[in-house]
Amino acid sequence: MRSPGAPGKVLFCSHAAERTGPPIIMLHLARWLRRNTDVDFELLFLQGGELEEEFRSLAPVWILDEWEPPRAAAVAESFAWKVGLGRFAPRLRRRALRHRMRGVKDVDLVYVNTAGSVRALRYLDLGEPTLITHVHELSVGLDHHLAPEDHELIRQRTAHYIVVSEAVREAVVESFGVPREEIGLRYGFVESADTRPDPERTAAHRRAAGIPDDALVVGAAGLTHWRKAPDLFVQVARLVRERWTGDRPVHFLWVGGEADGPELAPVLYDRHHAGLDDVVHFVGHQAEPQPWFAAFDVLVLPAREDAFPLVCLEAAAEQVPLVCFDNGGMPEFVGDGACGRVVPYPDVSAMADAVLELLGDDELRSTLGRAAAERSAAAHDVEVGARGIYDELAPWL
Amino acid sequence: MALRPRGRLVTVTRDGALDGDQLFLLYFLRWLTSTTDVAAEVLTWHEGILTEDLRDLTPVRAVDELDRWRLARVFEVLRIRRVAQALKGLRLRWWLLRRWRADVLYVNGLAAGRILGYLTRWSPPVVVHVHDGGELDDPALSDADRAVVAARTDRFVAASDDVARLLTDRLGIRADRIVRHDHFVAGVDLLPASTERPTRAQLGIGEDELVVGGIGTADWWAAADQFVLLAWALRRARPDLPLRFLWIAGDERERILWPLRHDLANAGVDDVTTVGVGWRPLDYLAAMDVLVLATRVESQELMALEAAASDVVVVATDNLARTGAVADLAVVVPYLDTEALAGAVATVLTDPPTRSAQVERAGAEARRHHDVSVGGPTLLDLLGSVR
Repeated sequence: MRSPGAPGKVLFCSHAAERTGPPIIMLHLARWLRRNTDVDFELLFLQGGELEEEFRSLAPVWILDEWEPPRAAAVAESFAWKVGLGRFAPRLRRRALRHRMRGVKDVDLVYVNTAGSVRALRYLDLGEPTLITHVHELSVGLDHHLAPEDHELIRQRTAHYIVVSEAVREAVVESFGVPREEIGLRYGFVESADTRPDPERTAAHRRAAGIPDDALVVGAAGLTHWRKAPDLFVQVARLVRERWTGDRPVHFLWVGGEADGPELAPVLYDRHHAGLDDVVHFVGHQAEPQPWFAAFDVLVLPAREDAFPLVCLEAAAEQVPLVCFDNGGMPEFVGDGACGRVVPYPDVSAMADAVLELLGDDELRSTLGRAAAERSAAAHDVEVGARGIYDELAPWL
Repeated sequence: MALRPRGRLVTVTRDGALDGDQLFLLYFLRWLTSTTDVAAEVLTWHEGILTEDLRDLTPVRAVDELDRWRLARVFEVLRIRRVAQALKGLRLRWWLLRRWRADVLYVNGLAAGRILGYLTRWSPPVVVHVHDGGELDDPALSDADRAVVAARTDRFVAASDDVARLLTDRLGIRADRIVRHDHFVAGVDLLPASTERPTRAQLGIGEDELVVGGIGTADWWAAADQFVLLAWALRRARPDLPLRFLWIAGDERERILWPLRHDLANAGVDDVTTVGVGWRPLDYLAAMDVLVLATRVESQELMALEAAASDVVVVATDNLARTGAVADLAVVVPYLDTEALAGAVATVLTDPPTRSAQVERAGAEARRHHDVSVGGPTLLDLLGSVR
């Protein structure tokens, strides 16, 4: 039992221990808490991932693996379906997963990092701990991907909401009916690197991708699914190529997601039909993306919706200015145009023009890039961001 | 060489849905039964809205009927499904074996080609008609099915050069086993009686509105995203026009449609867009002024031909409309060039002489090269030439 006045135990839940925005934020937060506080915490993920070991070095880690129930439960489920008792199968699975999570106990505060992570609570016997919901999602996540019962669970149980951008705050107000003044805004953050990526590695990456040394690089980063809009990236690339009058070649580089396969096939089809096979590169997921970001001259964010993508901050750290649509949280970073340009969604032509403006003006590009790096370091460093989240949690500890 | 006099044509088709390849078969059999003495019969995997129209022309059996076969049902109830499936398979084999002396087994659409797995060594020559490149990705076909189709087919009929190329690239079919044959339609007056066309009023569209239509499943391959960009660009370029956008999706489930709806809302064009749904896309042609075909995989030639026959202007992109019927009938613009697409659509909507000329040209082209009276005899010749 904890001593009176000592902070209670916190359970941090996230959807996966993978290298995407919200888990990375949670990793930074966990490191910061370990360094700066005596908060007792454990970590729970709906699925594992490549960051699992790093998390394990900080605290006990639980992996729910909802779609991989214990073998005995899987066999029992399969049998239930075969003998016409399929209606009992979900119950069997739920019981098996609750058994798997039986070691998670004595928790005073549950922090769910993304609304979708709340489904972990279905499998936990924790009584009524305080629930803090950190929302990283916009309409796609809240209205279309979040199961109705999870939506209701958040609405009923959340004691306090944290959001990663004003855009998300609006979405939470609309989706959960929470007064906006009761929602804490804490922007995403990244760990400032003491050293810049090795230019040799960046040069090697460029060469491996087939990008000439003298080429200007328009970058993008993230998963390659519909929401992130790699198809619009190809459209922008087509227009930039068509309108570019400079001497240096321009290449387009998407880091993250798939490099091939059915998800990307329609995009590669577009690339081929636009005659861009040689200049638009999809290099897939990279365990160490920073040297790739250092290759960018301009970052574009063509997403149909994005709450506050960390890749923009990571690229900003490399003094890369940003061009984004006006449809998510990133305009709040670019804001007055000091760090890049914001264009109306889905005006790919305007996005191409903004990219051209930056490509064609070295001085402007480096001014905006420096401003982006400064803003990222000042307002989006771990020290600022993690402490901010800790401040949100503190009244409930 | 045509089928011999009083020849016998056995046709296998996917279902009787009111869409392109099934209508194609209906038109062909209508022409065949009214102008020749060839005896045709149809085996359809599933029944659909056109099945009754087919029954008016020829004997039709449905594979679905086997689900009601009592002997198989006994094993189904006993949950010995493997035996039930084996029995049904034997029935299919027997049905085909009894037709081994037919002149040709004509498989309408790659999805219907699963039947070839039930052929015995005694079988008539097999012709498989592939209407669209998208058929190669049909989830109803397993890799094993594709392998059987590739091995047991004597001749493939490809409805376009792209389809022919895909058959070679994807199924490894030699070019000398593939014959090109243009699509055909039978004219709007021959649309089946079961067709009920919703009026503009029923769709909530005013008579004076200009309706831009698109069609396909709401996914990347059908290029719903291109349609969103077009709607946005057209609205921005011509705010003076009373525009309405009608996307005919193949699936009305919200979990399929929400990305399209979400994207339209994000682009700020949701207030002027109607999304129609259902498996009867041809019904909606009458409500359109322009049909836009900007898909990534399906050339939708039959849809373009039907549109031409219905005096609906077709604007298509040159990724799939380089050759073939769509290239002949449509106003063709560069693929991915949203501004060009919007410009072409705006022109046909606002320039009556251009629009009339396009309607007339496409209609004449459809009648001259793509009418069943032209395509029916050549297809029959082709079927008769396979030995």
